[in-house]
Amino acid sequence: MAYADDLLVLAAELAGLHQQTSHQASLRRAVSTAYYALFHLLIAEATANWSRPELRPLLARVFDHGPMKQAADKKVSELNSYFKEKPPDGPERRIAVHLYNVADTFAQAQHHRNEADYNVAREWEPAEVVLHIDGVAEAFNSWNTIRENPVAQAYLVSLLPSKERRQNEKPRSDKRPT
Amino acid sequence: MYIAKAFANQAEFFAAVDHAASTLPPGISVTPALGTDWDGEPAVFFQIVLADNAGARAQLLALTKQISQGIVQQVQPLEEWGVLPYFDFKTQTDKAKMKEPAWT
Repeated sequence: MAYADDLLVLAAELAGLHQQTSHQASLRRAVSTAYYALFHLLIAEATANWSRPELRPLLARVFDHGPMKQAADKKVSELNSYFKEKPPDGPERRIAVHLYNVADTFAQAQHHRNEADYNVAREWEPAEVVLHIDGVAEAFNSWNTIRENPVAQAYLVSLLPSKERRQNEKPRSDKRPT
Repeated sequence: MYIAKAFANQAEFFAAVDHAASTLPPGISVTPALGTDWDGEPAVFFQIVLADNAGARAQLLALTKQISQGIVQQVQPLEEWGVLPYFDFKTQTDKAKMKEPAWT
């Protein structure tokens, strides 16, 4: 089983470790692990296009949480504009729905991962954690549906850090961990 | 200094959210809060409370997506108001637990 799939299974196992209680450490690790499952799925899919397998792990190190989040937000916004025009049902729209699910889930999951890892004031409940994991699992399904489509492949490229994105990044003194 | 429209026109923004929330199925409460996300970007955090009997596990995910996408499509938080939307869903029971004092 691929690493991303293993992480998704692990997230579900962590969420179910203490089913009768809201065991915060397990629930927090479950939310975080679910995010990392999607993070590594997208990176593995992107680097799989590199023809030399032995160099793929090195290439994977180029990807970073911040640029991937920015790319996800941008794609969600683009697709919101597309859906606003009420496109007719068909292959193009169906691919857009799946890609929206992947990008939107990534953006939401990264936010929740930061909350789970760093906001100790927040309490998590098992039901909401299971919902997060189910959402990531559905994003996996969406990705598997569209992974060979050129639009999906172009999205993978957009996840790479770009010079343009770095230049547009606002200087922040209170940069938080990602 | 850039101020997102949602911050500058909070009453209008919250009215737009209220309007979108009024179109959702009954028994769903939507509470928006403005702030910044973990990257320091202007954001709106929607806390959405669902009825305990809102649906079985398989239907619950579809319902939450219907709600979040409905709000995003109607309000257009980023495109119209300059804030990134984030969603948290809780059941009424889970929400009630949050209000319980620690000694109960």
